[in-house]
Amino acid sequence: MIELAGLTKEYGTRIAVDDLTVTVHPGRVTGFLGPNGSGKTTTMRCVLGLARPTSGTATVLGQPYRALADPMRRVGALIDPRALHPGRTAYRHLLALAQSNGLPGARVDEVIELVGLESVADDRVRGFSLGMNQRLGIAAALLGDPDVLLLDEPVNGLDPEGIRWVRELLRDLADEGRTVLVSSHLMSEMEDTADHLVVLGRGRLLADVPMAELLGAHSAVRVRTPQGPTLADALRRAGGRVELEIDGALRVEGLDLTGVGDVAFLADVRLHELSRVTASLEAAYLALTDDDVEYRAVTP
Amino acid sequence: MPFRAVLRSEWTKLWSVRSTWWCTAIYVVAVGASGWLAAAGTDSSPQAAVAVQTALTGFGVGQLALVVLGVLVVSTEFASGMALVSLTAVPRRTRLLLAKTVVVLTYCLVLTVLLAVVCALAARTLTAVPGGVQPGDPDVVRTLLLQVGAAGLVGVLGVALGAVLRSTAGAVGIAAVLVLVAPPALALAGGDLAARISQGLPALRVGEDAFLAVATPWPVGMSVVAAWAVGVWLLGAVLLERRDV
Repeated sequence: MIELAGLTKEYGTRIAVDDLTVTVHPGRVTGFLGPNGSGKTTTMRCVLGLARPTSGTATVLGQPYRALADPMRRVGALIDPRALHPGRTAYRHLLALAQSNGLPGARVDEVIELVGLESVADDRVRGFSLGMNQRLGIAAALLGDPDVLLLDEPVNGLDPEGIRWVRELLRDLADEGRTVLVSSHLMSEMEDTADHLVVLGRGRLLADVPMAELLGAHSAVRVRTPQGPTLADALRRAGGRVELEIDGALRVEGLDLTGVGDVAFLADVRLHELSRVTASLEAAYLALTDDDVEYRAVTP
Repeated sequence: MPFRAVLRSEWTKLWSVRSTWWCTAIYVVAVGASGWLAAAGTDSSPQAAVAVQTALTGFGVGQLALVVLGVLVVSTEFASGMALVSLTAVPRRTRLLLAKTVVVLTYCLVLTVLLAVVCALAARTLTAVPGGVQPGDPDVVRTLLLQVGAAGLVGVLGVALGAVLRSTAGAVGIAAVLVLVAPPALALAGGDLAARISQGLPALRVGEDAFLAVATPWPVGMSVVAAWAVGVWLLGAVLLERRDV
């Protein structure tokens, strides 16, 4: 469990994280979403005691991170996959980390095998691709078999096979009852992985909702009929918001499938199509963060 | 998370990068070769301690390798970003710095003991001294121990500067000015004030003498170096605790 209470971090006059209160629960994958610069990494740094909050608190398993007696056995973290000494081999890097927390050397071989880096374990990490660095970072996070995982953009730079592997890994870890917080800007990835979403925009909390609820809130009903204007009027009277789609179908928000079907029956309208349109996470996310994109390209 | 575990981890880190092997090679060659040459070039000496002191000459410049090693142990963590990982694994920051310091200190002491013995052997073999260079001679032993102690202290000073400045170039530059450039420069500049400042800087030491600097009696000189090492180290520890990574 990760608990943030009024977490605020200012850098000079810039507010990176603004009064964030969130609880990340165990047993599910929590996706941490937000545009670049929205404060995701800063939040994770505060949780790990790497940055000191300006105000508010961040605790892991009920304690401030820096008070944990054996941090790697409780919390595994991947903040920056490039944060490695380039001249050290993958094996020595992991060995030094394992030793610092009194973990057995055999565990190093286990995690190297788990992430599939056996063939390059004795190579200096200088020559690693971003994907290999990610795997090494995930190996480091898993060394202590921790209860809580914080992974910042873990699939960045991975190939499709690697992305699927991370997705399954996160799912398994959550199913084992661990707390998994994973940030990403790849929304399609989150849609397949996360059960719950925490969305940030300019350091503020925009949403803390189950994935299904967020998608549901932005879903709609698509209905096609030869009597469009009649049905549209009936739907509006029933409380729906109706838009005409480009192919002549109606997009209805505010009513569910049953509601739209009943209105059509009562209005004596023939239907050629009645279907649910599930919003993509991308659309839901864009709707949430529309006003909160810090770095937006200017359209000429 | 016992301190012993952090020490083991730092020991692994120290020996798993090439810079450590380079610093070791430079230190051994600079000290051993110059020591042997200096002893060979000195046919005779009135006292055993003076003969040994001559054979230790290479430590003057060689110690820079220890300063650089000390700086690198901390600064490369920040330059590479590895500090994020290290401080996540060991969130008690002063404990991490202490482990690094103990590892560097051990490295400096062990290596310098070995090299000091080699230099003493060179003096004993190559320089004629009335009565010979005896291993039990208190003056000889003191000269050698002072050399070992001074080497340990400059290693600690390197770690401390690395923690304060976080930048390899900056910390090595400042260290070089403090221990190698400023003391002789001020000594040459002349004047009472310059000489006093020179005496207050942590000049590299060779046995009982400040290297290329205004001479100070060894208790004063060692106290000055120790005060710098401990003072900068404490500053480094405070800054490490307070600053974000």
